[in-house]
Amino acid sequence: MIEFRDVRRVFGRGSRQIAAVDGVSLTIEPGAFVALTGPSGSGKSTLLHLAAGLDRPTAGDIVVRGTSVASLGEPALTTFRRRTIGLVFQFFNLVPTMTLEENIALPLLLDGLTLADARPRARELAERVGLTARLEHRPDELSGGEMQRTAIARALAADPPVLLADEPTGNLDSANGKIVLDLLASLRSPDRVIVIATHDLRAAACADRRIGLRDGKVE
Amino acid sequence: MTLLRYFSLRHWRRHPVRALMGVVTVMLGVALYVAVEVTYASSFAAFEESVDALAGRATIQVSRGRGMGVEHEALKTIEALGYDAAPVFHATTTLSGVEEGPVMIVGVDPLREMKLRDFSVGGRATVDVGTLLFDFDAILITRRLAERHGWSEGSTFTANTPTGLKTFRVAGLLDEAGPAKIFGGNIAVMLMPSAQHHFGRRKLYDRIDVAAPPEALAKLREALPDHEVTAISRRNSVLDEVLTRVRSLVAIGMIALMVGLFMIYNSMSISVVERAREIGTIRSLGATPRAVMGMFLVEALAVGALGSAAGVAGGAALAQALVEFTAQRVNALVFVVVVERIVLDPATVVVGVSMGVLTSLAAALYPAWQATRLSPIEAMQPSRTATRLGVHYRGSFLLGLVLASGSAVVALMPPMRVPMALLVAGPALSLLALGLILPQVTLWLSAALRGPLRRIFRLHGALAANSLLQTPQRTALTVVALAGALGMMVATATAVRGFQKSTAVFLDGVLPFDMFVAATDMSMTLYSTATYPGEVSERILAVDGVEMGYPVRSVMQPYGDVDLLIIALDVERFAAMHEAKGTPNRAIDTAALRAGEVVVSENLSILHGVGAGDTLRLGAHEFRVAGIVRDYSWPQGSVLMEIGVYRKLWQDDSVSYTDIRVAPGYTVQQVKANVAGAVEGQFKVFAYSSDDLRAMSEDALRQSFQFANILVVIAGVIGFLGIVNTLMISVMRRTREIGLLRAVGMTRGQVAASILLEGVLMALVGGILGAGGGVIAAWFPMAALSIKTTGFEIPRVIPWMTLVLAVAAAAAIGLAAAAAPARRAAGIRVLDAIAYE
Repeated sequence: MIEFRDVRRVFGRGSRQIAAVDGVSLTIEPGAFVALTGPSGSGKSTLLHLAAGLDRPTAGDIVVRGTSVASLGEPALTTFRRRTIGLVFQFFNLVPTMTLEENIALPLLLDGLTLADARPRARELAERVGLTARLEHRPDELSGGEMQRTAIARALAADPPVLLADEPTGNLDSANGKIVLDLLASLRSPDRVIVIATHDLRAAACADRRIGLRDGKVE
Repeated sequence: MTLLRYFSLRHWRRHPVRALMGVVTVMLGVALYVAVEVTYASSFAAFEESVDALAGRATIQVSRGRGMGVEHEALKTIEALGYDAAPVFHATTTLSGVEEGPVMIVGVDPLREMKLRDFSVGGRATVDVGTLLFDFDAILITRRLAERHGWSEGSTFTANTPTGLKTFRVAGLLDEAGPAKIFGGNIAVMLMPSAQHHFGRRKLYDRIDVAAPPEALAKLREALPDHEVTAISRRNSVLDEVLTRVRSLVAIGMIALMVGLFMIYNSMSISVVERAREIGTIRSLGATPRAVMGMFLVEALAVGALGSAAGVAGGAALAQALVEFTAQRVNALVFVVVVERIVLDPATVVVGVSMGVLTSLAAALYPAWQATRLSPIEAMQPSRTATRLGVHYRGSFLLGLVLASGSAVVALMPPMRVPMALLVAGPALSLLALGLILPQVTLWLSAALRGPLRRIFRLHGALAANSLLQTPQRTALTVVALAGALGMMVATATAVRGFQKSTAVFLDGVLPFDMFVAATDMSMTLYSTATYPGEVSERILAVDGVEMGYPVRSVMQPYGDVDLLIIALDVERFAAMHEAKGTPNRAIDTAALRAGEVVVSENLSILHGVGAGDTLRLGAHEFRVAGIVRDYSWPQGSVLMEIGVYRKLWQDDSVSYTDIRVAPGYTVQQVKANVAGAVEGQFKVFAYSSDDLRAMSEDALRQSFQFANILVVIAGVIGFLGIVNTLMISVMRRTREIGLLRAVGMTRGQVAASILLEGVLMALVGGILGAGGGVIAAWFPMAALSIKTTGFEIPRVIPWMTLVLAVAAAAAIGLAAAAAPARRAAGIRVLDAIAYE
């Protein structure tokens, strides 16, 4: 499903260059739940961002479901993100002016649906993450765990085949972290790839496969 | 639509004040433009209505230049050619014993008049035809004038005429239709012979109006070779002069719009940084860069549209005040126009709205483009966002340099060669150049200033300086906005001081008299056509207390599209008075003037390219120009000649003023009383000292710039709002930093002090820039505008007191603007701030 082909991502210029990802090649099969682990600065988040099309590699390619992400133009990349990738961030990144229901429905709204059309799917996902009672609340009225569960529901709105989570428990206490991890684990399916980037060993333990990174390389 | 509905609208609903500030600044800029244009259009429309009302069916006028009459034979010649024609007599007079503005007296030949114009008579009152036909003092007045003073048929009133104070009897009331509806009802009608008699016209007419097709012009010119035959004039030089000055206020409107542009740019770029994380989120979820850019542009469009709509409405309301002010100015010079309705031309609305909308869009374009340049990841890391969005200003610096260079080239060019539009837009473009240059300059200055500021102001100074220097673009634009407002204030003051200085030199050095006696109340009008006979002038000169004096005839003379002011006086006596005062005027060659040459004013020479040795044609007469003198009598130029030459050529021996040098042992007041006594019961004259004249001219100068000062206040409000806006954002952005400082021991007072200092520093830089920029603006673009429109040079002065006031005002504005943000910063709760994301 996801194939990294000798991917490099270098930041900075001249003598201040840093290779955040340095020649990574690996394949993640459909149905896999993979944890990218490693210390801070190992390149795990960068690798995730590259797979999501949020960043472009300096060299190499990432192929997701047969599509070369690096070769996509901006409009195609945007559509790719909207329909193929579900993203969960460490700091939730919910839109503060939107309700929980609207936040969940956001990918569908961006795809041209009205809220009325997107509502059934949003409510279904809200129920799935246990937040039906909070649909009309705004992010500043939710706890950290509730916000992250909302973010997971949003990531599933378009039923994407690829779910990428960057430090999903990084900003949560252990209890909420467990809830989120259990939720992620419950999303396994043969047609879906789940990749989390984490330095949390407990989170990594939930995954079927661990890929360790250090200094931008696979250990 | 999704982004607009869920993103834009909700964001602005959360920050209504910021949205409102953007709308208000656009509104103010558009309002200023609309107010000026509406005033212009309304004043011209009122004048054109007057002309149309007076002209009736007439399309051609026959005259012999102002001050000369047209003889009856010309009328017969015109009628022999088969055209309908009517003689015209107009005179402006003041009423004695009642509070009333100037009244226009119209002399009519009824049988001829009714072929061209309709003076309808009121249905409720009838005309006493017998009285009208046989009583030389009979007059018809408008119903409005009658009601103001409780007059009716048979009432009498006294008016000033060149032949003395005369009592007139009301023989009927005129409905306000046709000519009677102009001048606010201040119009009265007499039979032509009566008017000619009372106003000393000796069977001459002012002109003859003719109803004829355009092709008749050639025929009439051929039949009347010594006359001026032209289409009915729809222009008036006094109105032109005042309205040109009003129109130049558009320059201030453009500066206000430029300041508004900076404010909106700041607001939009702040909005991009504030919403960077959300932009990153929606971009990562699949919003296209085009959609994000479109969202920001639609926001700007909304601000522009709302602001423009409010600006058009506000401008029309502001025009009410400006129109009254303008009419007062015009009527203070010559009684010409009463504006009773506002004319809002659709073109003005379209241009005003376009200006507001385009300003908003232009201001938002760059921040919107920046928002799309960010990759989603960069956008979701605010610290990287701020860095990415604002590191380099070299591009804008270079563009600003190019713009500034262009402005400097225009400023140094001879004004007569520069198009008017460029002169008006120049100051605004200079401000834009400053806005482009300043961010990079701020960065460069940061290294030099950081140390000294830290040493002088210690911790608060370090914090304030750091905050200002972290966002050089935002700081720079706020500074420039305030500098623009204060610069306008300083520029206006510099120009006024310059004109005051030159006027004082002119009045002290060029005008040698102690007092003068006029035929008109100069507190009502400065350039009236009222006169008195030459023998009255000699009678005035014979009273006790007059050491020496001379008569002056001051009259407008058409010259191409404008009017020149002829000043005819006894040059020998004028020169003698200068000698007696100890200010011999070497520029005036009395021998040449006595020989029939003329001296022209410096501004006439500049405006019309006439120099010493050239020939000047006035009406049917040509004169050799003997020299050029500085004279501020008339913005379109004045011509000095010997009164004997004037009287011979124009057959006019009336007098406009009599200039007097008071004899030793007498005071001006005593001589005034003596003069009044000499003509009591026969003429109403108005005596003024040279101090009175100085006060009137200073008053006129102050009033000319009065409205500009109001506009400066409005722009100052915009600058104030800019600082409030910037500081509020600064506090928001530094919430975590402030929380940390409080957590480690900084007091609320210290936090507030650092914000106040930040505001004062920003404002002081704006004040210093504005002070310097204002002086430069007065010395260059404003001076160029003055030369272009009036030929008058503004002497270069430095208004030190105003400069000090500008800087002090800046500090006060900074302090006042920082008060609310400082209070907010001091009130931040530590734990909330530290947890702030």
